[in-house]
Amino acid sequence: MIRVNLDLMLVRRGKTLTELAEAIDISLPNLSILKTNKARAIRFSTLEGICKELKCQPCDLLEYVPEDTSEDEQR
Amino acid sequence: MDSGIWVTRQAGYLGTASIPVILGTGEERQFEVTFSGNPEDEISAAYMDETEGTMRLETNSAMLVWISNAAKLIVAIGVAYIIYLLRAVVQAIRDGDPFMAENPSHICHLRFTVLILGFLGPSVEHIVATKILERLPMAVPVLSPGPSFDVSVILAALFILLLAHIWGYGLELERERALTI
Repeated sequence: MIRVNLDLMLVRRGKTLTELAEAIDISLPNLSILKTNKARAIRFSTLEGICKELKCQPCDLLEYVPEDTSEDEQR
Repeated sequence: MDSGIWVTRQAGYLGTASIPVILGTGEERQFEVTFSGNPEDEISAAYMDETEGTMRLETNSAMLVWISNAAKLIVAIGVAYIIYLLRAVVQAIRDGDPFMAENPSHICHLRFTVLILGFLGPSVEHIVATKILERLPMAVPVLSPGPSFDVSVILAALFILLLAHIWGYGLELERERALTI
């Protein structure tokens, strides 16, 4: 699965989800869906906006985690 | 399908029960049916309405009249349910959200109802007609109440099945879109 490390990047940059949502013009509920890994897809424009605001690269936000590892971590 | 009329039984009032029969071809459009026994308590007259179609009985038996209306009652209930389902689907489309989660199931129920009406209606009519004919001491050659299944109903059910699958796919796409950030 692809894990979205948005919460980590927010902590590193000292921003809140609300501030990010206002900055990139994405609704807070949608950004929450992304943060909690419930999203099914992400637009390049959204990814660009997040990277621009948090001054990071896409690889900082997106991480591939094998299914077995993700299940072990959830336990 | 002609299966009788609604009659409220009143004292001395003759109702009309109709049953479909298959008799064969002939030139006369209407002729009387004779009985070998005595059905006077229930039947006052019986005649073939058309040689290919319907036997009509003049009867003061509410039971016979209501039995002959059984198939029509089932069809009426089914049609009411179909209208209810269609109304729900049309309402969702009017509200601008056709791909609600309930709509594919509504359409599936629509398909089953159409199929049931298409098969159950004629089958019930066949059973009802058989029961009525069994109660009549007929003096004519054996009449056969034949069910008539409408092919258009089967085609309509298949079309609705296709519609249900397409609608389900649309719902999946809508969910995908909603979860695309």
